[in-house]
Amino acid sequence: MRVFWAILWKDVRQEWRRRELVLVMAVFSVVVLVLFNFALGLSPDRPANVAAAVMWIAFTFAGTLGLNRSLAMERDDQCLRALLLSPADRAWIYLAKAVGNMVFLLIVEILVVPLTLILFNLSVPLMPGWLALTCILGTIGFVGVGTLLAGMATGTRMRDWLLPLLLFPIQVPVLISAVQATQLLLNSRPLDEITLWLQLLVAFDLVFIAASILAFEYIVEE
Amino acid sequence: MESGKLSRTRWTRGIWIVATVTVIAGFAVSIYLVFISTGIERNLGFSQKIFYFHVPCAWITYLAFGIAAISSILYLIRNNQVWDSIAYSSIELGTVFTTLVIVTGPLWARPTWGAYWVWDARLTTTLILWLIELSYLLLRAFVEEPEKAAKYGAVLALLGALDIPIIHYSVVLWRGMHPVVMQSDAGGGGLPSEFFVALMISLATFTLLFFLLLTVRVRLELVRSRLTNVRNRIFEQGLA
Amino acid sequence: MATDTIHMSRSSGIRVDGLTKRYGSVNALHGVDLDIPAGSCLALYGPNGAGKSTLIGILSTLVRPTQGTARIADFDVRRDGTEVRCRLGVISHQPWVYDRLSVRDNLEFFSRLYGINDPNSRIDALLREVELERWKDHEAGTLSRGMRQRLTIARALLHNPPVLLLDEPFTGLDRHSAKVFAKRLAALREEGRTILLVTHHLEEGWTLADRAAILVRGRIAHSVDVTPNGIEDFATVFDRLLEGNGA
Repeated sequence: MRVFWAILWKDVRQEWRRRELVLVMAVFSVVVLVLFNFALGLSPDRPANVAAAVMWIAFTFAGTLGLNRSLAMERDDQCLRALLLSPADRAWIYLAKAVGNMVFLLIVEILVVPLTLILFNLSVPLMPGWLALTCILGTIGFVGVGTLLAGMATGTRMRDWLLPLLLFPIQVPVLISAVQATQLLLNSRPLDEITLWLQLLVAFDLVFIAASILAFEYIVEE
Repeated sequence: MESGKLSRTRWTRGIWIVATVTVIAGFAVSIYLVFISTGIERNLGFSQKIFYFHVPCAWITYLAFGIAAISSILYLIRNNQVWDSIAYSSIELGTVFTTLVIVTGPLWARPTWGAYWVWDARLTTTLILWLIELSYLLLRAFVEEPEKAAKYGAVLALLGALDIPIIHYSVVLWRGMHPVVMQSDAGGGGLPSEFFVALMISLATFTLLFFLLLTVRVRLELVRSRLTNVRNRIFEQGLA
Repeated sequence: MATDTIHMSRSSGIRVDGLTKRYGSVNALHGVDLDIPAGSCLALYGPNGAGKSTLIGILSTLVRPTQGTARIADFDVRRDGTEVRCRLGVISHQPWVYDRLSVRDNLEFFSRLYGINDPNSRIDALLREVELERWKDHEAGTLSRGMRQRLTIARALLHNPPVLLLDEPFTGLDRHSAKVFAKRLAALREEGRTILLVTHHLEEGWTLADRAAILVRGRIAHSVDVTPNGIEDFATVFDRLLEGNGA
């Protein structure tokens, strides 16, 4: 367990000094938001629905960027080997990496969600806490399996392009659920309509984090 | 010894011949049944006949992926290359059938509902499965070391298998109140018996065809990897 | 360096029995047997592609063997991977340190991975030993190659492992650094650690080792006790084996 915190802290501290990941992801998200605004035309019908969709697309793309960069950095330093040579439990290593990626993406989301509301002229939703929960659950799902797939993809010749190809089909349920929940929240729909989607997110998260932890052992052994 | 697996004894040759003949006969019978023997379906018209090809292809798609998933688990546990060859061949072959499903779906949908694509749960899930299969093939193609490629592929196949039910459920929820469009229960679970017979024969034929092709493909894969290894050995020794 | 915490028991050796690793139908290792008693040092030579990296990979629990067993300090590498890794230090030609972290932060991080009690005093002691004390707040990426090698040694020794695997550690070191490094290795040997040294440098290995062996195409082709004058004969055998290989 202390291994988990050690690795997480190291990654966060490295990022704090470099500030590479979070900045790149944040800027990219904003660019995507703005581009979509141009593509969709000003004041689209049902702005809440469009905003939810565009926001999560931005997170998906930015998240992919972040995952690629984060694993490339580890590979550059060749330190994954050193981690694997230590007596640290592989499960904790994986979790530390995944949670690190999650933290970075969440920071980006904190910046981008208000920006989305502004760009689409939406008022703050009645239940912001639930919106935050949706973002967290969606990010967990995305990063949970994304970290594993990024680990596989960075070893290949295709590098950056392979991760989206692997990740996007697999995390379709996350995208659907997160967007639906966000749309309902932004439209101030009653809670019981929303919890269904959140439950689906939780189910996905649990299944895929468990699967990824198990799979990580096989990925790293030769 | 390995060559024993690859040599054809009289017995296996006999089985091959029987199987091939059955498949050809099966197709002949199916085509007869589909186009000549069964009547035109009342509501959907002639285009409904695609159903006899579309449904078996869909069945094979999921069968192939299921086989791949199970082989992948066995590969990860036993570390025997044969399981990996089965998994890879199954997905490769399965992708062909999945493509057929996605192609025949719109061909049926257009005359029936006027739209090429309706986002119904089953077809959408199959589409995503298709994407997962393609990404599997790309992953295998671009990872350098064969053993690593096999491991990565196995993991991806398993993730996909876990995901399919979740994807299906989420799409069902998403499409919400839409009537269950399109379907194999074209008649709502009460298929007239002649349709049912035609469907079953078609299904059986396709399944047999799939297993025949799979066997050929797995053998091919095993031979191919042996050839690669022998070639590598030669290079290593500096003889070539 | 303090030797009080090294367990110099009989079971701190390396034992390899019939180790085989197959990739497809190529044998990277074919029935390799090794016995490195506790406190002794084996120098392993071999041409590229002989299987040395695979052997190190299996011993460090990162690669799964196809057949055979490998035991380090009496723990099986396959079944008791965690126990093995607790007792193993690996020094490779790659530094495996985080460039952006300072020397001290690197050691602190790894000591947390290994669960070292009272890491600070241990880190300070190690920094003194490898003479990197003055550089402790410098980013690891700014160090010269020789200095990074010293940091790598410090990192590998944090948990005081009784067994060391050295995978071509002299690579890329200039003559002076290589000499200094060899001296440190000799000191480690004096402390009674079990060492497997894989190297291309005939002389440095010969000075350190008790036994020397040659790995060719996955098999141990030659193995002798190290004697002060035996190096020439050994070199002759080595060249002959290389030629016979068409390498």
